[in-house]
Amino acid sequence: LKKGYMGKILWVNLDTHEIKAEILDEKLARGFLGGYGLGARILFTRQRCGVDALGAENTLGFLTGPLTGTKVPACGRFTVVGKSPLTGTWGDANCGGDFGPYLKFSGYDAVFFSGSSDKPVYLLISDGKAELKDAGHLWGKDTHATEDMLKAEFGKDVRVACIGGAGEKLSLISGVINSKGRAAARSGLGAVMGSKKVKALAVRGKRKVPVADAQKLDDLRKQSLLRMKENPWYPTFHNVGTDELIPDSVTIGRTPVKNWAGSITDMPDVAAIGGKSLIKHQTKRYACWGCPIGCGGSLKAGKTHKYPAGVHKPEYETVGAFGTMCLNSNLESIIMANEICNRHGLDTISAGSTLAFAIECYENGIISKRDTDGIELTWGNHQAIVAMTEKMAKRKGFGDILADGVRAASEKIGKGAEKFAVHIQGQEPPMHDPRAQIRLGLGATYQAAPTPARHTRGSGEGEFRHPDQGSPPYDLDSFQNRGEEHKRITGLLNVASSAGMCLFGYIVMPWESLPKFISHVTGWDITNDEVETIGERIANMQHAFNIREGLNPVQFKVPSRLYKAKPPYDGPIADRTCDIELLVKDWYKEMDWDVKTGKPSKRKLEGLDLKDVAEALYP
Amino acid sequence: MPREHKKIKVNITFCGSLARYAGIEKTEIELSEIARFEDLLSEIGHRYGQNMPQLIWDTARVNFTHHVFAMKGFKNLTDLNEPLNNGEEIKFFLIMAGG
Repeated sequence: LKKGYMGKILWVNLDTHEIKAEILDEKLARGFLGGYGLGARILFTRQRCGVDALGAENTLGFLTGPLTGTKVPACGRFTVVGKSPLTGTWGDANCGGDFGPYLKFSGYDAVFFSGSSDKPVYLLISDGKAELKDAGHLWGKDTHATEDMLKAEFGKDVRVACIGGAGEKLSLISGVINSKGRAAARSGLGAVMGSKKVKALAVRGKRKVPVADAQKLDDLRKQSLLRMKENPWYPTFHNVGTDELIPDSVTIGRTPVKNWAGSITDMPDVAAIGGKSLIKHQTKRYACWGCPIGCGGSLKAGKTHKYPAGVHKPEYETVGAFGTMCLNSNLESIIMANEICNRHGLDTISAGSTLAFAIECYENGIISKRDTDGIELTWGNHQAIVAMTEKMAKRKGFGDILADGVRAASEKIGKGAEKFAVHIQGQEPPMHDPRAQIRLGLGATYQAAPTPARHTRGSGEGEFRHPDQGSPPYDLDSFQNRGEEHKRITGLLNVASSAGMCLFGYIVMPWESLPKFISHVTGWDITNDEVETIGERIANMQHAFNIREGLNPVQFKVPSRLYKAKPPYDGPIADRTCDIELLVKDWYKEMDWDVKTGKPSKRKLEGLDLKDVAEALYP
Repeated sequence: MPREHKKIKVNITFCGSLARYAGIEKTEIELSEIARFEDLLSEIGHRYGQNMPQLIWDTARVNFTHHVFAMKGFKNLTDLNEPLNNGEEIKFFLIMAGG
């Protein structure tokens, strides 16, 4: 195998507790790189369609990329993959922290779990040796305690990815946590881990990731670091963190307010939860492994809300979900809610959005204090927001109704609650309104990308259209002719993510660095054209997973609040609509995916060297 | 003798990272009463353009790049011929991602 890889994939059969290592095939690696690209290829090949996402037949994967754990800046990522129990589609979640690099240092590029254990277990990989161990003493512990207990047993060099109580209790909005607060949050894959009774992966090792051309890599790294620091996006991430964006983003109508039915006029005190306020709570910067950006931070102990010193700084998405979405301008309560989610392993986007939905139900008389265990779930009631987040994380009382996200909650509540339930195929959208300027393409991504309601799949515009690449080849205020760029940009993001690079790193790095870094690390001569082909192949692989499941993303419903409803407020997007239908149509045409059935053409699949996939979809 | 135009003042806010490069978050810019948006951009270029990276400021076009946009009230400001009025507040934003 070329460099950049440890060369081995670990397979753990939880039915038999058999563990075996497989050699990673070079053609497979070059075709899909790693992360969700490689994950989609492997699950499509080895898993039949139609499995129960929370059943033993769903395969759960943890994958790194060739750049993970190397000197390439911002490459500390790993990805969790599986069929999503939240959406029934392809599911993945990407994560920073330090687990990814250490998985490679332990000797493996990826770990897949098949089957289901009859008792709680954790996987320990110690310098190449893997074993399943009893996790009876860890089950029921939160993510902090789990990490602390495993470090106490195996030493401080061990790195842990684990679920909290939310995953154990099969919350469909639960994720996987490492470094006590970096989350592979989306798609509900924490519940898949919980369904298999896998509490944690603990990895350690001192193996080096082999690199093809260390000198060229070092040279490019130095050049890239200089360019990164000159990038106008860098100081926001580095100096303050993503929360710096909140006040401006609310002002321009990008960040949703009041469960997607409000605007800046409802949130005049938004500065209280913006970066300038939050940074005053920070005691030191936190960076994921090998990251020069360091967008995270450790905070002082809370005063009104009693969280300890050292908790993670909430990200933009979290501040949006628990803040503006709930009309909550109490910053400590957002930090507290973030900490609850980190400890119990909940996706903050989904959890905050579900709370906003519940508040709107409460305010409209659909539920009352009798339903909510006496809690007054009113807009901006920060004590109530924290209390209900805790209940949701523990599935206690009304929290049990909310613990599977807005779609499940609206079905359980009934009485017309579904009109306030903002989700796409079950997943709550992130904090980016597709009607806002330079976010229009996200409407198509939310509906019809392989995992619905995701912003990290990008679109053909905004920050993911790299600054070095000049003006977009279309009118910014038009919905016409965006398909080609949408295809190209989302393909590039597939490559960056699958290679193990953080998208913030991708954004601030010269875009031409990505293929060069992959080439210098692996020894393959990866051109820009090949990067685009790999990105397209990954998109087709994930998409084919959904098509084989009998799903048609063209028919997935996007709530009208996200694109066309005349909102009951004045604001920057009040008179805007987003023509999602046209955006999807143009994009699918460029992808050679049928605009009615969503099915990729046989010609396209075969052209991407996916002949077996073509045969599966065209039997 | 040509008529001398009165002066107007418009209030400018550079949001987020733009303030770092401009060296100022809020300022007041004096323009002619017949000034259009284009004239404001020209003045911004004169005062702050040299401190802005080329990813933000396009010296040749005397305008921000497509990564920056302007708002007047709740309205996007894109028309270079848009007339400006005394006391108006114009905000400039750099488009960025969350996480």
